Amino acid sequence: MKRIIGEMPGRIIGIAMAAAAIILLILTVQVLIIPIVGAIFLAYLLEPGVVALQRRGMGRGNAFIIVLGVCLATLLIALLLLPGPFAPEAASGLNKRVPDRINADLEKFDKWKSNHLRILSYVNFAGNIKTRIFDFAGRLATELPGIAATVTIDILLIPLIAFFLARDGRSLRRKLLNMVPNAYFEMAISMFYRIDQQIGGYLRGRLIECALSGLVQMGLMAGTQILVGIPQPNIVLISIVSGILNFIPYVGPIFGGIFGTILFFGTENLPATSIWALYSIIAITHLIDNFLIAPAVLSHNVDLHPLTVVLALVIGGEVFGVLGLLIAIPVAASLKVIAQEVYANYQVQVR
Amino acid sequence: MELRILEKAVHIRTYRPGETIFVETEPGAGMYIIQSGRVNLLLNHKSDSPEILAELEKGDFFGEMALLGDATRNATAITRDACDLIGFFHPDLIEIINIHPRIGAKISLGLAKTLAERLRYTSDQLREIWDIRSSQ
Repeated sequence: MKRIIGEMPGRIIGIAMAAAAIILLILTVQVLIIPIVGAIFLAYLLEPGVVALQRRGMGRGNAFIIVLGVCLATLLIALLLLPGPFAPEAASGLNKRVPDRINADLEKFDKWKSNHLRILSYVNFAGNIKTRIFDFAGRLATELPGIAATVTIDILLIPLIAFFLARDGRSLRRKLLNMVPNAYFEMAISMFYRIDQQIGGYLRGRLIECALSGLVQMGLMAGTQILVGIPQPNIVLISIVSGILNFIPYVGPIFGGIFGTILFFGTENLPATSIWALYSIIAITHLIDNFLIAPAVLSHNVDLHPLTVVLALVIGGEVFGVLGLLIAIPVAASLKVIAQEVYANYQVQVR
Repeated sequence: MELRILEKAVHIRTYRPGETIFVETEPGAGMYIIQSGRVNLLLNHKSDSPEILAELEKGDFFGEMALLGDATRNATAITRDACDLIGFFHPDLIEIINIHPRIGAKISLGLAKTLAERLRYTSDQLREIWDIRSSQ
């Protein structure tokens, strides 16, 4: 053991210290972590458009503003021009309908339980669930203004930070590289490049995958409503949210289902078949995504073992919640690149 | 214009006398141009009698194979005296190709010419060895 430590190259210790410093920095700037991560995502996603405009002689800052503007305008116009069955529906009365519907369904369940599951008659499922839901709703109501303010600030900060990242990110990277000692310089430059490639490829691939799976879900929901005749409210909203949530590997579609269920509960006179149809649609979309879309879109993507992905998600979710689920894969892929580079250099040193 | 773009892409590094720039068999990231000072390219630098492949000076360049990416170093580069080197690396080349395709094509063509010359030189040497062997 003593011998191994004695032989351990300085660069490994240096990298371990740098990683520890970054983790410490992340923990101290937790308030800014959501806008920073969001800005990094946005900057990576818009990068191909920025490079395309740069090729025409435009500066990176201006190119970023134009690409962002075009994306936002396209999204807005698409939402405004949506045809009949896709048009967004008013969610007014949702706050009143959802508790009523939950109340009614829980009462139904209580009756069914006392008739069929007498052994569990002493367990007050419905009461417990009701108390928890209303506790949560109460907390949400008091904390909502604070949450809304934070979300608004984050939404404003994300494009602002992304703009500076897109404009000055490269010069910042060069300044960081200039500080690296000669002995580690080539390793650092390769590491930066490979991490950049992996994260960029992963995020852009996932964006295309999420957009396509959202469109598939939208098509299936519209088909169910128009062709089969099972009503599907809020098709666009549920499909967009499901598509976005699909960014979270494995559990994303479940979150999409939960969101759809909440909206369905808020819609009056909706038959139970609508909810079952929604679950079937989400399952079919997930299958199409896994077997058709993902293999085509993510073929040159991060090469992580499924077990590593699951472990990264568990650790990310445990440490940073939903944000951790979103950043787990890119962070795991980056750590893998760092480990590979360090190991390759270590091999040369001990040879 | 082109020079300004290249100037922004390269890295200027300062080395002490006897400092290792890169080591044989390690993964390489790009090439170096000597701005000032002298550099030795060595084979088996860890052995008691390393073989000097080349002694390079101001204006010479080395390590260009790694510019193409995914290449290990064929030799070890060590400075003979204090050196200023201009480093040009694979990621920088890719960025130039993406943003300034015309300049990227010029650099790639220059690189291809250099590698073709080296290949021709190696082929000539192999032919000489072959001729010597067949005459014996």
